Amino acid sequence: MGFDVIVVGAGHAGCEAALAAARLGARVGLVTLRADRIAQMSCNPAIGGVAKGHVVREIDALGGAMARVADATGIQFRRLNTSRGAAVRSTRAQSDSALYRSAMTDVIAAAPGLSVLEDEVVDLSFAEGRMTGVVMARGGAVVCRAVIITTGTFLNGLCHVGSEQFTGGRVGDAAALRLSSALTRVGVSLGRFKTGTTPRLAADSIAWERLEPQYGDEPRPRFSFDEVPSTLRQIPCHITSTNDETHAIIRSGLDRSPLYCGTIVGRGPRYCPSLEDKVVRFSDKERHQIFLEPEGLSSDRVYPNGLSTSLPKDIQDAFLRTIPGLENARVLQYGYAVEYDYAQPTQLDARLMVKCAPGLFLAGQINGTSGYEEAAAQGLMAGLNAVRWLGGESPAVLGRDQAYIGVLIDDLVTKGVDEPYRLFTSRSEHRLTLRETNAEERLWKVADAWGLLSNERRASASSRDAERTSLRAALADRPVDAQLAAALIAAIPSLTGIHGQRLADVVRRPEADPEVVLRCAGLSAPADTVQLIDEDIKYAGYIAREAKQIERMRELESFHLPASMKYLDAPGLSREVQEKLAAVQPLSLGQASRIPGMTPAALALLRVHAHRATVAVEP
Amino acid sequence: MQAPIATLNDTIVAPATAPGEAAVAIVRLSGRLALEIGQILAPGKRRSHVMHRATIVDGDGGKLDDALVCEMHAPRSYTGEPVVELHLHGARFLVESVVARSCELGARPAEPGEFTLRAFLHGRMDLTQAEAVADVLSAANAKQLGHAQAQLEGALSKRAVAMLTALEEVVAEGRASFDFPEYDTGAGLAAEHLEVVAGLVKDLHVLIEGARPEAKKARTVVLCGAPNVGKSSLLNAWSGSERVLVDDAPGTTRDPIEVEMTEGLQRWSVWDTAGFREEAVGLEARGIALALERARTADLAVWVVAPDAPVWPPAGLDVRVIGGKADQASVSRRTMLESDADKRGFVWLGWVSTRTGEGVEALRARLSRGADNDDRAGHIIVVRERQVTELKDAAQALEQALNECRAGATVDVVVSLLEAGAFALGRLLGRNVDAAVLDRVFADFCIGK
Repeated sequence: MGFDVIVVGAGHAGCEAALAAARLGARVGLVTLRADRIAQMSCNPAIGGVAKGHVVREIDALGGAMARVADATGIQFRRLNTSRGAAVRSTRAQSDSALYRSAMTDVIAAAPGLSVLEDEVVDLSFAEGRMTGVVMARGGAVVCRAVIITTGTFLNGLCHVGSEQFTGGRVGDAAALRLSSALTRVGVSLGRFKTGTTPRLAADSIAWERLEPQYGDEPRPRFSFDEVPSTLRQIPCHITSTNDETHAIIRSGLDRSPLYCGTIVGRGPRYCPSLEDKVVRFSDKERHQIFLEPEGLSSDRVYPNGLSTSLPKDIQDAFLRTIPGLENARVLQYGYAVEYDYAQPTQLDARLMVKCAPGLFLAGQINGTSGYEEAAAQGLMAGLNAVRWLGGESPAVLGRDQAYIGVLIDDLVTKGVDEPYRLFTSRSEHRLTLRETNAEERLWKVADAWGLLSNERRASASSRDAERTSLRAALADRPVDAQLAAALIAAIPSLTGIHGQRLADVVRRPEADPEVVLRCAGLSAPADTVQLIDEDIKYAGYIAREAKQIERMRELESFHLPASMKYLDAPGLSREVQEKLAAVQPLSLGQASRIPGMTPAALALLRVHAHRATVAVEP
Repeated sequence: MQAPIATLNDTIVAPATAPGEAAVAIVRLSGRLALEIGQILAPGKRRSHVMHRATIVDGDGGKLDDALVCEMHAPRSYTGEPVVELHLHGARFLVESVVARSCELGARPAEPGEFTLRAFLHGRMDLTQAEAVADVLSAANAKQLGHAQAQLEGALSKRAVAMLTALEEVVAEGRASFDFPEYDTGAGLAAEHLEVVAGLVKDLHVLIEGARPEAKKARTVVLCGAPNVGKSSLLNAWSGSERVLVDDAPGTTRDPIEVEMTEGLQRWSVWDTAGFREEAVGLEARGIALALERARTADLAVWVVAPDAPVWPPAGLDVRVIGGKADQASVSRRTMLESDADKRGFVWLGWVSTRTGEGVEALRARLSRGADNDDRAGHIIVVRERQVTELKDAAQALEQALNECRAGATVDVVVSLLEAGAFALGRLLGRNVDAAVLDRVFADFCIGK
């Protein structure tokens, strides 16, 4: 039995990695401890959110599965930030987590060339400077040419509930205890992170009638650019909040919180803090909001978003009773923290390949990220790059100006992480350009060139592209004659002075609802296309300004740093900067400038050094 | 010339004092090898930042000079690198020998501004301070010096850093509103944040309106008029020295002659020109043509008329008029001439006499009026074009942010504009600027600084 690519772990990263590699024609083995837990939602039963929604749309544009599966299995869809502007509008969906799991399992099963192996990878085979296979606990040695590790929180996973500790990748699942030392042996150095999850509550023990419901949006937003049929019933979440009494109980238990008594050494996420963190750090806040999210239509489990904790069970029971609606809540599974090994991602190149172990790729939470979406995006890019690397093709790298996925991976491999990394729109300097609406337009051609699109997807993407082109042309060319001006002003009275302008000029006016303008002009296009083009026109001035600013830094980005640079011998640079450069091996001066601790002096020296290195290799 | 930025790795050497014979001359070394070269040039055990007496030796161990040597170890030095200063006797030959010997030992001659460039690159000062170094060196009067020193001490950079800090806080609030919508952060920026931005716009405008980028460029004033009306004498009186030959014989000045002066922060370039005579021919006529050409392109042309037999400017020449040789003009003569000028449509600037000194200072004051329109203590006057450009960029972005916000733009757009403003303020301080900008800034430095 032999494979081109072995993917270790079938979570959100592993699934996209295996699917992308298989789509490119590779023979892929997807190894998972439990084939019934493929694409398990270990934490909250939701996909998307701010910046993450952007990533899900980008995954879709790149031919990935996450968006389609989320669309098919969602039970509540909302758009966030609707009043905060087109650039930051994000889609978020509650998923039926069991259906999500089975839908993704079906996608995996249907993928040609992809086999699921229920086993545990315990060792890596590395010979003559590259990966040659893996060793499985039951199946023994398996030959392959590239390995993608997507083990999430399972590497040396250690769960904490109060002072109780047990090994496990998540509650109810064994940890991967032997792979860490295999990674260390090939030269990957590992650190320790932690993350937490909330208690899960029994749905029938919550006093729903006393809580404020939050319904999904109508019409239903969706992730995939293709319409994915779904007939699932849509249901609300409910909102409650903590209070003084809750906080007092939490404070009384801090001495038994593994976080605060020093049991957990790994660093936790600042952006997704545990309840005890919130109570300590925001002591002036009287209440913290909690969203009660059902885990599925037929599930009796509820995920109380905002209650992530690793306090002892008795404290969890006690504080839950102080929260309106949860007075009689029954805990089905207590909240816990999990500590796990991660690899500092500066050890990876922009392909997500380990620099010291050609053929070994890492993706997802093992790289210090948090979030299903961040994991899935890395998985897709790692799967794509593993196959390209096997075929001797150039790295597939998305630019920071091209996709949030580009921002994510550049941040990881350039800056590294000192806490679990989560994407935000503020991490992108191209925020106005990288919108959810234009993800497909930004990416489908490059996805196609990389071979990621199926024939059907290419056809649908291309027809949407044609729709955009024709609508843009219609708006740009069509003059507003007297009759059309009258019709438009009748519909939107403030549109004075438009006679003689082009239709695009009318759309540019802030008060012009594009649908109304199109209707008056006798034009029509799908709602998504209209929205995208409306944003493009209304934001054109701002986007141009953003582009101009970025242009000023272009010189740094286009200053290529040769791979032959010997940073450790570079005179004039401090040892610390030498080591950082040697570790990151930046591709450009721009990437080097983003390495933390780089000074203007170090950059200036690097410029000369690179110049000399380049001159030296030319005859 | 190799751009200095490209060779940060070298050890550089240059005389830090002006060339020529002097009591003392200082040679300065900076860079990786500075201390080693210093030790070979002047062996001896020394502590950092302490002046030591030492013998400077040549390549054969022979004594070159008895000198004072001061080492300044990194990073507590001007450049942030190891620095050695050699205080020699001021013989030119000695200075040249020590520089040459340093170069044999691995240093190279410094480019203009290279010491300060290194100070900037090593974070010892920001870009506005580095620019101020050049201004301190070129200061021609107490006012320019005071202003440049204030900026070197960080007057402008402190203001810019404070503005940037305030702005970054607003940006962070704005970003939080869309990155953490679950925390009830409102749809956009709160009124208090917009007030901060409005305050920053105001501050920026104070700096921009008080800026005098033209002060770095000389304003040209051309003195013209008939021969022997006292143009050259006036120029000499202003510059306080015999800069231009003066003679009673008319036509002494043929080619336009330039004298540089400073008035407050403003540089002036005053031109004396050939006397105007309708009937001139040959070389004299060519000199007059040059004079008129100069007058046409000047920021200000001043036509001098003598009380006896006044000669008025040729038609179409845009000039102001003064009366020269005032000591020879009676009251009635003065009245007549002034009303004559008025009838001809000229602005009369007053009478001057270089013999009695009448009107000389008054005219100078009048010409430079408006040059220092704001003289309040602690007031920051930006004189660099580059700095004004960045301030204007910042102000424009912030103003647009406020306007768009008032017009109902969404917070994503407003934050993007605020970020553009913060970016411009960063550039003012020398953050995120590319090599080309640095090369331009340091190009107008002298060697050894």
